Amino acid sequence: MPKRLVIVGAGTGGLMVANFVARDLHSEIERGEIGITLLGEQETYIYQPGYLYVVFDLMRPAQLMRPVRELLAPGIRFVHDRATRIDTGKRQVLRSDGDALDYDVLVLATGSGLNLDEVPGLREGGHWFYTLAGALRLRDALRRWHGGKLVLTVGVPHKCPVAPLEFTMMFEQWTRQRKVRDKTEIVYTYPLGRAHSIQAVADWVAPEFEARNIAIETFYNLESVDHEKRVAHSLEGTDLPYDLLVSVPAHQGDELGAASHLSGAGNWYPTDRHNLRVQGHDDIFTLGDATDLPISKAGSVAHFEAEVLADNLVGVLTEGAQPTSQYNGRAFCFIETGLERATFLSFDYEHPPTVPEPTNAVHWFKQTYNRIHWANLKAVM
Amino acid sequence: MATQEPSIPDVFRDEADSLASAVLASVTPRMVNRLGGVAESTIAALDLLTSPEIVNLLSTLQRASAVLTPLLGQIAEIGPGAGMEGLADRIVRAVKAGAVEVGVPPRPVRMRELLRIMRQDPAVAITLHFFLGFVRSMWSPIAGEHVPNTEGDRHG
Repeated sequence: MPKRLVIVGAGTGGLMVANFVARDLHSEIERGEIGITLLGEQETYIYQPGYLYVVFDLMRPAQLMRPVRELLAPGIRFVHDRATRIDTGKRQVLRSDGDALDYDVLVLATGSGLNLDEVPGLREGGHWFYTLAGALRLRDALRRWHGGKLVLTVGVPHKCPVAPLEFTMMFEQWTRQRKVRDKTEIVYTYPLGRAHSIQAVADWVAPEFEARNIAIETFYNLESVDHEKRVAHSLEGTDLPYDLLVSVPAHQGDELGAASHLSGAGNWYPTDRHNLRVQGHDDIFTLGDATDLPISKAGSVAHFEAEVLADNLVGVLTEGAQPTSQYNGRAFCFIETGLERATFLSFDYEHPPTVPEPTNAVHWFKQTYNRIHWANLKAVM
Repeated sequence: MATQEPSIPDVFRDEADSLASAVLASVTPRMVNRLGGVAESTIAALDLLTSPEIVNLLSTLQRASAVLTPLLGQIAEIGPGAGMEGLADRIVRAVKAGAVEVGVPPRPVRMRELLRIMRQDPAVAITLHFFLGFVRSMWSPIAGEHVPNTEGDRHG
């Protein structure tokens, strides 16, 4: 009987863990000692950071998508279905078609999704760029843009913590390129008392926005949207009329966690910050957006966690060893500061980030990564 | 006092420094290891193609070319010297190029020669690509299971 590793979720974290382990253990897989099954709800993987570029007509949707099967290392069995519940007693993942997958070790890479219903009127009155459909709708709105007032709101928690800043700065330069900057008013709002939750970013972005004539409205928690009058209301009592409302909705964890009594508030899995075990379960691990760790929900975090987790899974599967590799909270985020320059953040649990001066080179590094991300997913690099 | 503009070399240096910093911050030692592994496996695949055993196998196929599949027949029509027999000849010539009969030249020279021929002759390149795919499939016996699902796109 082979040792069975089941991974739920075929996003960045799930694919990377599956591929890293499969490449390390290809001999064991070939000999039938280890079995890896990836359970994915979607047959197509989408590179989500690309949505931001779709909005400005800088990338086409087709450039962001690949069939999951083409991204898998040899030896991984892909099952296209939805997990409905984990039976931790029987060590089974129950599927929507009624079948079950038995596991010895389970990885929950179920990601996060938008909570659009938390704010009444948002679906009708707002735009967002965190789904492909949303990005395309916003792209179409921008194609019709000839000036007016753009209001950007931010809900927490959300993935890619600097994306609202990137959108704002890209939009500002885009209006200059389109010769409509003088007809455009930009208001960036944030729910805390500064422009970003990371202090160094808040300190950097305030003068940047001032120099670009972008207004900052702090302590602004979007409460409701009157889509007929085009007014965004905040919990704090501030009403902002808008011509285009772009919102970063709050995110929540997958409902699988709640259905399995494994997750806590927000449907996030309570996670050991170093070995990525779901607390209270020696045979269940998690990574990426799905955790409740106090770090950014970002693709780079899923990647760095996947490397640590894969190392540990190899030991667990082949020797029954305890996890020894430790995740240190490492994160890396590019920040597009317009359409031509970018900077980046690098930080971990112990070391907060600084913000280097934006350059063209980092912008092109980001553009390059957008196109070679697949090699990273496939564990080619 | 007037502010001095940064010189061109200074600008380049700053750009290069920022790129180096970003690369160092984003790359992990495991990524570098994996890239090394890929380079090694590519070379290994080409080494395999140029080994005497493969040349012998291809020579056998060359003799049996009359019974090979219609697919290979179609491939054979691509490129110079159309025809099944011609294709087998060209493949053997490509694989032999520098590998077995011309002594033992340095590996990069052999690889360059083989790649040059593959670039010039699409039929040879396609056939060898299929052949490598077949070799890979030999150590990847587990096929993906497809279970249809009509659920909506929960993650967008």
